[in-house]
Amino acid sequence: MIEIKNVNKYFDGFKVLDNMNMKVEKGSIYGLVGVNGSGKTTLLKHLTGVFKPDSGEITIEGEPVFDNPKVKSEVAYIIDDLLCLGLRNLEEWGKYYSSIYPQWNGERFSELIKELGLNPKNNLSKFSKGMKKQAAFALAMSTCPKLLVLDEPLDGLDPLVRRKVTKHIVDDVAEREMTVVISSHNLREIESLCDTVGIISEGNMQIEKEMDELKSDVCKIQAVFKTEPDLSGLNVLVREKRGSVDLMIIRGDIEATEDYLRQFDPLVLDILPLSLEEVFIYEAGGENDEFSKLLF
Amino acid sequence: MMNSANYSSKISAALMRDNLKRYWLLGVGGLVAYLITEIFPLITNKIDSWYFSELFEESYFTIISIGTVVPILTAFILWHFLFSQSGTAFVHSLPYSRKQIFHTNNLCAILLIEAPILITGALLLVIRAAFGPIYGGDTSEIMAFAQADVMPYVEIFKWIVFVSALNFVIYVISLTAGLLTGMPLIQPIISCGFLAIGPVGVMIIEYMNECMLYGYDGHMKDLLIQMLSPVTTMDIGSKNGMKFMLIWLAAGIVLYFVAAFLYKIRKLERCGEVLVFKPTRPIAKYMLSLMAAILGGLAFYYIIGNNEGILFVLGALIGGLIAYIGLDMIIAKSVKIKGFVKGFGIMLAIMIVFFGAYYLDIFGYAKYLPEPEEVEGVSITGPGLADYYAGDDFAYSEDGVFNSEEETTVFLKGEEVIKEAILFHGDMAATKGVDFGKHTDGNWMYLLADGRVVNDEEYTSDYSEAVGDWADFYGTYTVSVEYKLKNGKHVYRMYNLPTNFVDSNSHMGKILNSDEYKKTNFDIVNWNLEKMDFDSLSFYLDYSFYSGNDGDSTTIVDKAKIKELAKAIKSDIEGLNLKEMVERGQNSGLNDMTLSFMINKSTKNNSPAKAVSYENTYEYVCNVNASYKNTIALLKEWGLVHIYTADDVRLAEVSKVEAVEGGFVSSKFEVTDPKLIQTIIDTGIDSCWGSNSIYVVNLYFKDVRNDNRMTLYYNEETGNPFE
Repeated sequence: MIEIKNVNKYFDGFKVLDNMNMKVEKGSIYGLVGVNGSGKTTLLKHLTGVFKPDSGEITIEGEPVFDNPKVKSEVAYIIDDLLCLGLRNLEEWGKYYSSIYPQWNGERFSELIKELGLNPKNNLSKFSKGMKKQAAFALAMSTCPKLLVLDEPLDGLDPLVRRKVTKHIVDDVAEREMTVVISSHNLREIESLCDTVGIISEGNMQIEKEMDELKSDVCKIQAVFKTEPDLSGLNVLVREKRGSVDLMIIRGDIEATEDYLRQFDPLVLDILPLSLEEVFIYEAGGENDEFSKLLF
Repeated sequence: MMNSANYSSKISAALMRDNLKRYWLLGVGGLVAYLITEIFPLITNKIDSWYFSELFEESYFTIISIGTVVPILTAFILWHFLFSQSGTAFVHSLPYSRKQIFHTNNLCAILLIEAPILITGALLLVIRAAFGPIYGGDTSEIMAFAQADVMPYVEIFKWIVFVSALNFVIYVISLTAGLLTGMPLIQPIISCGFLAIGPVGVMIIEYMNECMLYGYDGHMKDLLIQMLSPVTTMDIGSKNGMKFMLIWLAAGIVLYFVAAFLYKIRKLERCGEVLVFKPTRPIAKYMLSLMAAILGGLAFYYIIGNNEGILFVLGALIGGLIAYIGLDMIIAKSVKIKGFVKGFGIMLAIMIVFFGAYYLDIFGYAKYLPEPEEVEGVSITGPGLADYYAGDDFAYSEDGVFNSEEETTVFLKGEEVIKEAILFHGDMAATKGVDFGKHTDGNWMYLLADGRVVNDEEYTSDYSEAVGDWADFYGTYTVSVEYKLKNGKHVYRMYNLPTNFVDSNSHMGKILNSDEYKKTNFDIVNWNLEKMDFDSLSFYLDYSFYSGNDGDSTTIVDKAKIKELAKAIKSDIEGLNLKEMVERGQNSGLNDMTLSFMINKSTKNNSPAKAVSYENTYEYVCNVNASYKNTIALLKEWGLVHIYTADDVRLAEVSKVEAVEGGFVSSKFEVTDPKLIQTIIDTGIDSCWGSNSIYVVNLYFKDVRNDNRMTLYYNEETGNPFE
């Protein structure tokens, strides 16, 4: 659905996006992670048609997004600053959106703001940061977009509201095949929501994989061997001995790894699941790598 | 609620509706301002005499103020989203194309700006239609104008066009300014800068030219200032005001498309920067720094520098440096200056080229003299020149109709006169390098143009040949030359010269004595009296020397006598020489007498070239003085004038005033010798200044007039007849 091909973007001679490539399937939830200044927000602004790439192309369902109102009418972008247009309350925003988004669903908007406990007549300047975020979410979801672009969507929301927001996103993806691109520093949030992950560093896509594939590619082994095993047939990323216990992070197919280790007749052999955080750390080459900054 | 959007349209109805809903107050504000300015005075009978000359003249500055503030504010508000990261990102993520945003926002802005003007204009038309011609309120004081219609339809339509165009142009300028910057504060600054830079630039260049170009006359300054900004187009009633505004309207339309292009290529990520387009940064930096350098140089030169050239250079360096550093910091939004040596090096190079070009006069401005064959006519004016032949010194247009708005320039034609005029101009241009500024307050401007500072001795040695003894020099005055070239262009020069320069110049003498000069300046010389018909001739009698029969003015209606007198004046003018004319100005006894010929218009083929035109007659005014011997003799013969002689004087009282240390002393005595009294009448002067020793003579006449006393003077120059 979304395809970003060889996109480059310079800010005053500084390369912010460096030959960026990205592919997002229709109906998927794509998590975009990267350190501050890695180019996430810039990429999202390209996706929403705000920025024009210096080179390369960005298409949504085969059509370029920049300066294309037809495509943009199917893209919802959640903004931080609801006061930027001078509209006073959610009622005015609702009317405004209803006039510019063809798929606007007023009933859904009413239901959403009711569910989130927002008064449509209250002045937006009196809303808290979290309330503004909820309001922006309600507006975006009510446009029934084909693509929802979220920049730090759950930041500043309480757990209850997070759950509601997440539920609505997942429901829309399931029911309408809405595509979602989320940028976040919170990897646990990405892990719980996304089915595909892209890691950006210095404006370049370092890793882009489905979540399951990413997790299944690296495993954590806890084993006790009678004799020292020959591990030369495995891609061991990290090995640490704690007494007789061997702790290993190994890249490769989990079943093949298990079969390989079993031939050394281990006394204990436990294969433990890795969290996304751990995957990033070990995939990226250890805790000293910049990806560790995402976690700590 | 569903919406069927038309994405290919240039205008988004939704955005338009939303903008109007949010910003309608701007339009209402504009309407209230115009109603207060233009309608309120009408409905409250506030029209008074100032409304007579130009209906909207009095409200002009209010109109300009409204027309500046409202468009700048409107552009700022409609486009404020461009100045915040979140705003610009959000608006451009909405389903609009840039084209739609641009045209819709601008259409909305123009509607908000122009609707109040059109409504006010329509109200004016309705008032005019309902009440008919509107006359001034206080007719008792302004009877002469009481029948004037102060609000004709054409003026109302002109107002609508002018004010609409002004507002549109300033809006487009503000829009462009907003697209050049990513910071809210900078938008109004750039807008005002665009409006001011033309006139301010002209004034700065004007001072530079005056300072550094010898012979620069600056006559184009006012016109350029009027041209170069919509807010200085000035008088909407004048031909130029409307013409310039229409040119600005055309420029505004072009600028609109430039703005569309700028918006299209504007990189939204540059929001927050002072100037979002990189190429504009050096242009702004170096251009404004150069202007500051000029201002710095002029300030040091005029205010601090006692007219020393080196202080101009120092002031320019300081002005340029401060402006460069300040602008660099503002543009980069940082106190750190990157690449100062290179940047200021470029600035220095620009300054050297600019000021060097002026100093060396690389375009040969000061040296320029036209070729005689290029010139169709030449006009030389200056204090005193008009007095030599005080003929047609009224303002006439070339078609003979009196026109107070335009000054008439009389051009001398004829090969010989043009050649002499160019030679005279060459003599004036050759004074470059002479420091007249040392001796008068008004002549500071040419020091740098002169290229050097000289003292009196140098002046004398360089210049005595041309103007004679330095002691004759008491001050300067301005002489202007205007060439009308055959290619339609005009060349202007102006010089400040010693007062005796013109008198001493042989080329000027030849010009003044030429028939061409007389024919050009004194239309009466060209009259074919046989074919002319006169209604009357009247003249004012100067009490000091000429005495009429019973009053101060006399009118002749005898057509034969009028023709005879005209013939006498012609012969006098043809017979006068330069010396007589020059001397005339020095003697009170040669005061002018103003003769008014009323010429019947039925003799169209022989109408004067320059005269005031009335319904049935032309009025030609001719000044005559005591040098006009034939004329005076005729008037005396007819008993219409009497020139005082010693016989008319009952008492001649002389006061001698001498300057002594700490003041003056005076002594008084009477003169009774008729010969001496006659000498006093013939040689005394009517004023004298700056003398250490003078004689003041009061002559009391026998006849009883309003003031039967006349005062004459003698000083060191005139000598005195009493010792």
